[in-house]
Amino acid sequence: MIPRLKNPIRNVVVERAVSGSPVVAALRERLPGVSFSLVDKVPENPRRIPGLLEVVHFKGRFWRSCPGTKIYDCCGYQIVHIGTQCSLECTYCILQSYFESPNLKIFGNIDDLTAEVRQVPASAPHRLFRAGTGEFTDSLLLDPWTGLSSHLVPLFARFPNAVLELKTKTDHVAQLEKLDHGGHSIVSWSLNAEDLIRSEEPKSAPLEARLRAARRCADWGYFLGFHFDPMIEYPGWRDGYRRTLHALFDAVDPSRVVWISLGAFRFMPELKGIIERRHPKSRIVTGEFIRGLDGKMRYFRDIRCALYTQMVDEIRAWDPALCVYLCMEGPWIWKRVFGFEPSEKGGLPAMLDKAVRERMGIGGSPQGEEDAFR
Amino acid sequence: MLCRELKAVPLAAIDWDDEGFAIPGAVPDESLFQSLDAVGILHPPLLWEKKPNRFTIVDGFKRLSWLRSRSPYVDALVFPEDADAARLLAMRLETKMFSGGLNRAEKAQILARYAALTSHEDLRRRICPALGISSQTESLALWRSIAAWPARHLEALARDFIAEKTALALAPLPEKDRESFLELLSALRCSSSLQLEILERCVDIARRDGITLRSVVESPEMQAILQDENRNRREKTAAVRELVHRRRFPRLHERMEGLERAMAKVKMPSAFSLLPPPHWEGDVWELRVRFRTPSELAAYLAEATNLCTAPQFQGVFDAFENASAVSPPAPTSVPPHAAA
Repeated sequence: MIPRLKNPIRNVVVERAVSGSPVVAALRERLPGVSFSLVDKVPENPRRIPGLLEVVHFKGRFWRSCPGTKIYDCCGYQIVHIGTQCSLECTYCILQSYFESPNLKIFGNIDDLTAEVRQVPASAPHRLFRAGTGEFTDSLLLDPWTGLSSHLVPLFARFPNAVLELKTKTDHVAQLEKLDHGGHSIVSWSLNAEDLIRSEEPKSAPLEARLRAARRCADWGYFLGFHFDPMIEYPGWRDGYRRTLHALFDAVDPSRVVWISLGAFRFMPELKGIIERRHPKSRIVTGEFIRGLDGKMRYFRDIRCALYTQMVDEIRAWDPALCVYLCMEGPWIWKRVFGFEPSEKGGLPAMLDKAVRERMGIGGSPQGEEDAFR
Repeated sequence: MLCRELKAVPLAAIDWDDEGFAIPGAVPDESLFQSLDAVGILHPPLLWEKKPNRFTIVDGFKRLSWLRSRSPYVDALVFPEDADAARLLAMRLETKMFSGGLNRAEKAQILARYAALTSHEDLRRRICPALGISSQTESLALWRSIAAWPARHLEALARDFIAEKTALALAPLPEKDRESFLELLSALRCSSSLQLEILERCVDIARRDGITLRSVVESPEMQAILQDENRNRREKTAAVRELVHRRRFPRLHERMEGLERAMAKVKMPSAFSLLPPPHWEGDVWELRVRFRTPSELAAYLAEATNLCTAPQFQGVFDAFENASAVSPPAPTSVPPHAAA
């Protein structure tokens, strides 16, 4: 069944160069009442147009490394770039500051995308690649209409040294059921306290729907990931996050979960004014933030440690061996929360590689990583 | 060029209530009146004979008001009845725009008046640069709203009690909030960066606690600082900053005070400065040593070595680190997205 978007697609503008793309064919078939127009080039348009979807011929690199920092530990994630923007309109979203391209955009030249994706894991057969599509858009928001996962999931199933993570805040998973994933795909959800889902993520799927979708994916043999990011401190956050964790524990078998990440709310200073203007009722920018060493605003250390420590304690009680990691945090926070720094375990990328090897059985078992997460 | 004629016009024939072309300066122009007293009117004012023998002032409001009690007539350049009002206004605005010495209240009004006469592009490309103000679309809207401020608010702007960025930040706020903050700034007369810092933090407090900016500014603690006759403006500004920081970042503020107390207990040479990680982020400390000679440095380094084992010095690091393990108290009781 095709789901309903809270911001439905009303117009699709397609660049002529990708008019024959299977993505465009899928969109035409699955969006019967929607107007399609062909253009030579989708013009730069700084104006946000609700309901507009742009399908463009992307000429840049589809596969790229996640831009981490030297100060805060990065997970070594690889990005498979499928498009930009998102219509879920979460109050905290960084995509709001991408003024030059405010509308939903997907890349129609899927053959170029898959060709590039094929090359990378093959170029370094002894390295494990953890790649995902959810950096600049929601991985599954448009998937029921574009069918993009039907190209990527079976493709990754053929790589002995790569896994694909599809990150979402939707429950758009029905199209994944019949795909040949080969145990190489992780479907992951961004989770939050329900109070925050209602107030800050109002157009995304409710918690219950996300967890129901996760259970279905696990039933279809997919591995799961969960990302508590951004964690936001608000009155009642302890109970709020605890309830979400317990709902998660009730919903899925921990052996299917590859990792859970935690990341406290952080933002470029410029985003504050945008959030205030676009979401005048939101109070998330009024927390006790300091300017981090990377220039982003972050909760000061006591608050971050309190947020993480409770989560880690709860998750450890559920599954002591589960990979729990902090997204873009400094070693001084890791030390306080976990009692060790990532460098003591070979670095965060090695820790996540180990989780893939142990939980998914992918990528061999190099020596020297036995102690990670223990 | 609009046709005009030099005429002696009776001041009684001027419609003094018609301020259609007025761009009030918001503050008295003392130097102009001193010049008029010294040498009189050098450039004839511009009048529009809107109806037969009834005149509207186009340019020269201050000169004519000075002349009013001194002469029954004025030599003025007079536009005929059929002159186009919009063209007259544009001419008036251009003249004013390049007359120099405009205060920000006048700039706001020129921009707002011109907005009705010309295109958005012309405003951005020509008018804004000529006025020396930001041409971003958002700023334009704010400047236009500033032009509609009540006279007492424009006066604070014209007198430079508030900086340009502060004015733009105050523009979207309700009038009563703006009023109370302008009173605060009039009392402090602090720098542009401090104005913005205090304003941003007060707005954040109001937003977080679901109260008005006015109630933040008019809190008893704030008012006590402002009314303290034993403090000068600089001291009041420092006290207001401290108060606002404490309210905006209550837990961080408390932790910083705790660290300061711990650092005060350390007996360090006065040549030493111990600096904690900036913004409490990271774990890199700095010890700065001021010295004159290598032997003096050697002596200080020996003292520094001893310092490392002193319990008070260790206490500084305990004060910095240990509270991180303790759960901070909950934030204020307003949920993150509650309707204000």
